[in-house]
Amino acid sequence: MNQIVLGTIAANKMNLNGDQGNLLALKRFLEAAGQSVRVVSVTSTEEALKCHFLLLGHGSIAAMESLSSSLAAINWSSVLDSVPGLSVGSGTEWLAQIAPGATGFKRTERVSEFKVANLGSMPVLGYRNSDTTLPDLTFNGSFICAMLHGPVLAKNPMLLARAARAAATKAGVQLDFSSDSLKDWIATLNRISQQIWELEAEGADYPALELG
Amino acid sequence: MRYLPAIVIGRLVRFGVRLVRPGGGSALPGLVLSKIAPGILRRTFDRFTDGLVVITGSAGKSTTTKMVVAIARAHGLEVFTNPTTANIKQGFYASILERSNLLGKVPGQVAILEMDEGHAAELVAEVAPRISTIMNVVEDQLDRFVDPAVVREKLGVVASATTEDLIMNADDQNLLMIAQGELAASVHWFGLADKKAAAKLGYAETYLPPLTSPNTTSTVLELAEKQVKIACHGKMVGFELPSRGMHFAVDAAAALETVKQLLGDRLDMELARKTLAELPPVFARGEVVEIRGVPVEFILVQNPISTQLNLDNLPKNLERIMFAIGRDVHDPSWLWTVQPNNLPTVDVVTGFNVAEAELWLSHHGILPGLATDDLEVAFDHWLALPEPEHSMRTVIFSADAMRRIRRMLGFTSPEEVQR
Repeated sequence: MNQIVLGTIAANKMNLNGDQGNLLALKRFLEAAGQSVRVVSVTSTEEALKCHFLLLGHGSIAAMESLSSSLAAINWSSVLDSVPGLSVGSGTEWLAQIAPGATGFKRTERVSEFKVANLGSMPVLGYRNSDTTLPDLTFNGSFICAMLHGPVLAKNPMLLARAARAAATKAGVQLDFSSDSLKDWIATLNRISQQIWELEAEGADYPALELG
Repeated sequence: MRYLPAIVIGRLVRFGVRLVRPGGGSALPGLVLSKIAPGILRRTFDRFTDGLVVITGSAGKSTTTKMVVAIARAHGLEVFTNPTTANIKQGFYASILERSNLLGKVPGQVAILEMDEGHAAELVAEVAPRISTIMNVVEDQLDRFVDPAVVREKLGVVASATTEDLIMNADDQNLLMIAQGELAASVHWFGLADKKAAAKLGYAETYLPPLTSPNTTSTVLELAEKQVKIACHGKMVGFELPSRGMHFAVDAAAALETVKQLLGDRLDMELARKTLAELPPVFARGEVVEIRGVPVEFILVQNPISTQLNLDNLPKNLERIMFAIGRDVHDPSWLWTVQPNNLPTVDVVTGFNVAEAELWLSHHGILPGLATDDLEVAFDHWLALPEPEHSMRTVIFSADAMRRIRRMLGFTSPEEVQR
């Protein structure tokens, strides 16, 4: 069985709002679907290209300054083209500045609140704490770029399943959506996430993850 | 006479609030007083002959303030201070309402105040502290402060405004950066002798080449369980801390350095030691209370690092744990920065953010027996569980959950804490 490799860049520095929790959520989901999962630290383009999913989290101002040269050394054009991934907060800001065709962003009034955003037709709940004009959610190549920080995958099982499918496809494996362990885990996620949505989504309907 | 109407109005508001919420409600009366008599704050603090002592920073300010106040009072000083629940601007106004006579005069020689790190910069613009003690910068309340660099900037304002003595943590690189700025005050340092232990206290990283740690004049030499040894200006002090954990030893070193600068040669080190040895914990920092005849330990967690440190310091074989995250945690994302490896189980999870807490715990394989946002249901269920065999029942909670639980249990005074 192929092992699914989840990569992360500077996990200790890019976890300011618990952003690395996204990999924990993805790992837990994939394991419930019967997959073997390994989380690796990525420091180069070569390592990034070997991953089946890559996380670029959110770091403090100091962390991002300290990482600027190592992030710049990665060929993001290749990575964004071929590796599914998620960027969060300052990770998304970084990609918005350096990605091919990037137009950058402007600073504006800070927003600090829970929001329901849309990725295509998929509603996603998360916490935005940003003074940029960057959208809450968008695609950049194979990456989902989020300004909704923290463990956005954990609170949004539909988005989580989408990320899991992308990682599985990249790894060339089939997820077993009929397994009891995955059904149980999805039921747990739906139950808890629905409560979070009821509390924070200001009336928006919770989009339950249903398999089949 | 100028402040008589304002004091009367403020007290009427406080009376009304307490009719509705026994034991609560200092914010609204304080806010009212701040609107109708903004000048009373400066006038009050200007009257203290020994000036204003400010204790601020991300973590440890409540415990340190309590220690400094206790030692100062043991030396005969008449101290004006604020409750730990009132460390923002309206809290100071509420404290004046509480302690002043009808003319707005507050007795005392010195004001020793715990100040929220976000509000301190604003307040010192009105009244310059004679002494400031800055504990640390940690990653905390990011929904409010956004970045640790913002907190460092605010604390830098406090440092610059301090007129005589600035006491800071030598193990926090952020504070070493502050010390490089233009300061009017003399700088004194506290810290740990064991720099490896200091590195585990979670001060926000600057990711810059480290500045050389200065010599400390109050130094934690050793901590075994709760027994701590601190060297303070060449004298050795040993006593039992009120609560578990190296961070409380750091608080004690900060407190001793602060009283040394406050009292000078008047500081009786043996009296300070005795005072610290007899000090009860600040409420909910390792406080043990009896509920329905059963001892229960309360542990307050306020941010990623305090949660991590408190979980890491839990005793082995802990049973009967209730975990409560309240409304004060606006964005509970930070829970995911905490590794609950030392949390063996959670029987009940509750509070306004119960679902966020349960989601985080579940991803770490901790499946609570009951998850409910109803504190009373949670507490009744938890107390009905069989007695633990190897440990005390333990409640781990955020500040809002703590206040609600204490109020529900009838603990209306934050000072009602026993060692």
